[in-house]
Amino acid sequence: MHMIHLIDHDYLAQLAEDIGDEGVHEVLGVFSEDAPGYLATLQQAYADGRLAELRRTAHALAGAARNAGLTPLGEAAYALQVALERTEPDAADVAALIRLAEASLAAIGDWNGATEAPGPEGPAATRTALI
Amino acid sequence: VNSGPYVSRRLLVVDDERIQRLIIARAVGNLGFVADAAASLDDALACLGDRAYDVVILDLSLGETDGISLLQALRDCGCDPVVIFISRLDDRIRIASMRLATAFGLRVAGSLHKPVAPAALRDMLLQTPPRPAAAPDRAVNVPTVEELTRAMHNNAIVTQFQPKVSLNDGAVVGMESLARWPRGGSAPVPPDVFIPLAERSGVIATLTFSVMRQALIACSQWRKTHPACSVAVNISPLVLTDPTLPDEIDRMLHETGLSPGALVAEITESTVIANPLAAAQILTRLRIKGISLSIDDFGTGHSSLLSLLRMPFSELKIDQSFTSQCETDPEAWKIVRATVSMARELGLSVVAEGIETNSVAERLRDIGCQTGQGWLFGRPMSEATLLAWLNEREPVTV
Repeated sequence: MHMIHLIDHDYLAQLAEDIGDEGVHEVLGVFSEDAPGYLATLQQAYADGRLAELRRTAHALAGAARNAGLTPLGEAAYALQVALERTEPDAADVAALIRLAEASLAAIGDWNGATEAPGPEGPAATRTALI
Repeated sequence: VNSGPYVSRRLLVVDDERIQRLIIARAVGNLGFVADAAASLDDALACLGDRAYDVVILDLSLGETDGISLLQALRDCGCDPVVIFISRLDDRIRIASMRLATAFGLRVAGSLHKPVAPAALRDMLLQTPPRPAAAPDRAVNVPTVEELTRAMHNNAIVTQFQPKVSLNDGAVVGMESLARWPRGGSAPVPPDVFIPLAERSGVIATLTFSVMRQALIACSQWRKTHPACSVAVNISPLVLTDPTLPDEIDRMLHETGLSPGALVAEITESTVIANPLAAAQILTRLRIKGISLSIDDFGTGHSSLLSLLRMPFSELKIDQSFTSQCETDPEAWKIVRATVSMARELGLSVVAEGIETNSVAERLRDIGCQTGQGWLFGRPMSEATLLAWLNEREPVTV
């Protein structure tokens, strides 16, 4: 159990008002679809020492995560992007980012389960378990 | 292209982030827009080649390129789209991009910070921004020096008057006299064409004195009913160093029976003052006589802080380029506020030029700008029209 909010629920609630629940599911679906590619590229670019590619991918992940309401992941990816403009990449930073991305993907899975098929406890209880 | 509000309109989102494109496409779909998405400059150029767009939403950062490089293509695409910028970059960059696009002749609805809040985007889409003023076509009818001197000789260059109005109570406080050259059968010659021509060809002093004479005669007429209403005459920097200027002005004031307080000399430093010492000497003599001195088009050209320091001005006119943008460009507004504040510190009265709306007039009044000029109050008009206007007018209260 993480002690931070991986998903910005206020952001998603506002987004649902603006583009509907279906739109929010599509947004999270697109993120879930694209994220594994970003993570694979991050790992490979780090292993190969391709810094420009690493920075570009961190930038893309940051944008996608922020737009999907995955605020901590968005900020962490952005921090890596900015750090790469000045310094060499740090293995621990890349690994931490990937772990955070995987946890965020898992949180999306739970969120989908909670909103599409509320269990006997109801969606509110399920969401509480996500934080 | 259908561009009415009730038919579907076409919108292009140019952003390298897929989820952002998706959110925008869904948000604008509710407003009746059909949205296309481009992930790169090349995609965007391909879309613009295929279709006409009513609106283009443009991310300023596109991977290794940027949205600015698309502005030229947007101008040349022939569909005259409204542009909205989106970016994570700071306000100054977004504002500079908006200015740049406006300078390209594009209609800019605004800029939004990313991630884009769909509600803010929808608000922006519901307003259509005004088209930037088209640059006048300079290719036609550029007069020769001979045509100019003939026009002056035949009194074909006429003097018109535009009111200056108190922003506090709507009272007319003065008129600016403006030389106009209407040409029968063809478009009038713009003053920013024939004034520089007169300066280059050495007839600017004759033109200035001719306008001043007409202005003072007209002023002596309206002062019968509006005794506090002054007249402003533009004086070229080239005339400022004419040593006969103070005596010539004296003579004309005497002929028209006006006190020196009726005259405001507006100085625009369209060209560098060749001999600042001689100019300062003449301007100081004019001030001692009781003539008001106004620094015109302040903040443009050479009308600068240094001039304020050197010359004994009593009035500062804020150029219309700042006034007209003060509601759309936060930095233009900051410059206006700072200018009014500086003028207050220096004890100068302030006139804002180019006021076209009540809301701009109110803003300016609220920051302590006393006087306004612009189409909201009145366009330049002939003496006869002006006298009728003055007599009919009810004070505009803002």
